[in-house]
Amino acid sequence: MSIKIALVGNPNSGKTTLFNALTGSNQYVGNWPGVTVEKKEGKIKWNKEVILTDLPGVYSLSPYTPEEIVARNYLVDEHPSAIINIVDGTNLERNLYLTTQLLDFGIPMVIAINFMDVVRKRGIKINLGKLSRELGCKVVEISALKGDGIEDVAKEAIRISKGEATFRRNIFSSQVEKALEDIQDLIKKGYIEENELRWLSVKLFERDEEILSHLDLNEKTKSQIEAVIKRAEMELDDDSDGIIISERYDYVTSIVDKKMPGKEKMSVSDKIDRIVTNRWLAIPIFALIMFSVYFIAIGSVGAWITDFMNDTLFGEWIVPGITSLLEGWGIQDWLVGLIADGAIGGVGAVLGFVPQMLILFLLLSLLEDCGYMSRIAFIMDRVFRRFGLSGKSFIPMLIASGCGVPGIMASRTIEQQNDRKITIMTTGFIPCSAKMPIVGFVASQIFGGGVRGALVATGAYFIGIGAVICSGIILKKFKAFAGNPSPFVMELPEYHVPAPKNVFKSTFDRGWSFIKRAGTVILLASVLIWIGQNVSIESTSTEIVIDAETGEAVESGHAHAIFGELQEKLDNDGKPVIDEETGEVVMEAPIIDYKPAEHKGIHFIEEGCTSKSVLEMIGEGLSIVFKPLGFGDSWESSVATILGLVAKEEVVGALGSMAEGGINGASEEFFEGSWLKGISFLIFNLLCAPCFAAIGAIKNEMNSRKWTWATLGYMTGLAYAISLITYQFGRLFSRGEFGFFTVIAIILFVAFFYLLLKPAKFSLVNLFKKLFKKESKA
Amino acid sequence: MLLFSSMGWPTIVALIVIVLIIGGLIAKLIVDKVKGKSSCSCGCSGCAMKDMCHSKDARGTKPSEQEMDASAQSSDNIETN
Repeated sequence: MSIKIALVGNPNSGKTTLFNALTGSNQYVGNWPGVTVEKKEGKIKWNKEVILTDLPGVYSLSPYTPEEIVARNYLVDEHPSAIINIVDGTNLERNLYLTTQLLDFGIPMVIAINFMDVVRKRGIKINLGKLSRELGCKVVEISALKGDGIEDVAKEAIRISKGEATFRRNIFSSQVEKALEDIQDLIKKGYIEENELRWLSVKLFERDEEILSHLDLNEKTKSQIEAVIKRAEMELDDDSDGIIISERYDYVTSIVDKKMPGKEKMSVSDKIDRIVTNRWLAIPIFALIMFSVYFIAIGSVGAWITDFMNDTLFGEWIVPGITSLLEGWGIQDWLVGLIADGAIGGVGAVLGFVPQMLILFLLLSLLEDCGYMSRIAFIMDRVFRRFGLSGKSFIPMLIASGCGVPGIMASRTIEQQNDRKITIMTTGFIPCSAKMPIVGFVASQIFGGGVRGALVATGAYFIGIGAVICSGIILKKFKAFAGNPSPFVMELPEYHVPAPKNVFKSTFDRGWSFIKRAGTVILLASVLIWIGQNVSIESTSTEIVIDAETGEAVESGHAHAIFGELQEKLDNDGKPVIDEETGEVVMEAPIIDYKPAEHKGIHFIEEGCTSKSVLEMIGEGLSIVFKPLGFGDSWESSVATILGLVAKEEVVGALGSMAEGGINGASEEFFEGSWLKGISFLIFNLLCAPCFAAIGAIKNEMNSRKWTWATLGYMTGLAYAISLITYQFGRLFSRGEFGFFTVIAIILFVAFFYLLLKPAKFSLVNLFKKLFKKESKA
Repeated sequence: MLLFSSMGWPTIVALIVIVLIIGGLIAKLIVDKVKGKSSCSCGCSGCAMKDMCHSKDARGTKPSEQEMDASAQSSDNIETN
């Protein structure tokens, strides 16, 4: 029979690191709260009989947050054989609060004190023997990251899983202990097991509604329990849950005070934090760090490798090499075009940005693993809270910088539905890894890389954050989103040297997913784009000069599908061209005035054919919408934008497929090298509706079709407005061009600032009502 | 037929290979979708939320449509102006 061991601890105490080390799993490890939202199971590497369950990090077992519900339900319903309570040794007081709650369950427990390397460095001394005696269970020192002591703690958990339950009965004052005993006497007449009595009595004393309804007690028992609670409240002059919380902390303080001789010094982390989380310096330092990251990844080192990939590897070697190879085998031109220009060109355009992506992922992983990104969540909480948003909203956004889908899902950790909705609606604004090729394309191809390119890339990141903040300010003024922000509690981890394994694993995982996508979805989309670009359904009239002897076109091409009929006409009607005046033969081949009105079939476009491709016909329709944004002047960039719905990488893949000079030619061919069009294109693609996978996640998390459409409409509307304002104002100030859409841009700009600055409790309905009333009075 | 006869064997063979690759990719995407594997950019191996995509009780902590609408209505009640 298998042994079930639960891994329980505070957020960011190292549970998932310990879980990975014991099970050999590669679960995502992040040093901010909310990384583990659902429980994860795995078998211990050296004992497959033991199932280890990594529960979400919780500060307590009061079922307020989704993580607390998952953790508490597991402990209550699944009855694990033992608990490994992982405790952050650098903050024993707060961590042991949860320990006192876990003891109530009566499940055999071992305490693993983590971060012992940091504890020793700080000079903190923990008396394990005495702590163990006070808590009634074995205490083991570990360092999950370094693997120290992890086998010992697992072996101890296995050993105790077959033994006696761990109880610690005299945590509370005599009055509370008496009340708990009385409650136990009242409820133990039922079916309740002996080892559950302690925990249930504490929960009933706290008036936990869920437990009360779960126990299905009769009215008499309920009133007797209430009388016991009231008596204790009278004696201790506080409400029952307040009594329990305060007495738990008193107990923890008393045992920690006793067991922790030694003075805590100000750590290096504290000294660094005094600067990087400083009220005034935090944001500029963050901006500077992000600029440095983007300068290395997009503007310099990454750009040099990407240039080599695009210009030389794909531009000069792979695509021409495969073209000449296929032509040498006698494969027809159209299929060579499909393979070389369509499939390889499209995929190559995306893969060309892999070096930039890898460097970016590597640098972001370093920032994440050393603990800096946790500080960003803390810094952003300060900013977000000022505008009525919760810092909790920034956690999904941190995750969304990898991919929007898990970012949107991470919004589940936010308890308040209004904040959750805003977070879901705005998480997609953060540039995910799939949007990075668009950023890389605009930064390096249109802005020429370097410092300018890095500024554009950094700007893209901050445009995303700015859009989130502005959306928060605006949406919070609407009825559906009003309310106070959710509380956000997070502990800043110690700064430490990034673990190479974590950093390279994170970089590899993200990079490999990116490459896999290029080989599947992007490849398929690129093939479809090439077909769309080379197939026509339009009937066109083409004058073709045909050699009378061979019957082959000599001056202009035509579609393959209609060639047979032309040949037929030529056979029947072909006559030499004779000058009527002189009677001399001026051309051996006849001129056919071909009117293919009857040819409405699908045909490939060859050189000289004037038919519009299917993609061009669609693109021209779409480009009307995007013309006011500048980049709509070329139908190709409009098509690329729409194809971003399939996958955001495909925006660049499509540009690479459609441009004659590959992705390097796209800047001149589709944007005329205009930085204004490039910026407008970038802004729209950063902020508009996300890819289908992310839309699916939004639908799943919103659980409402109405809200899903509202989200997509809001994102696309905001993207269009910001892009229009940027392009039209850019034209106005750089070239002095003024038109109808400049007026629209000014109106949108004023409306945007009105919504930003308007005091809260704003409602569009009320605005219209007020306007209507004023008109009526007039 | 006219089209195929004018292609020549190298083109036909290359076309078959391309069709097989594309067919295989589409089949893989469909199979992955049916198996519940990820179709998002991040992939599962490094994803913080992969258990939320695929676990049976993943929906447990998610609010229902009624809760979403109720939250909007409760906000309506907050709003008085």
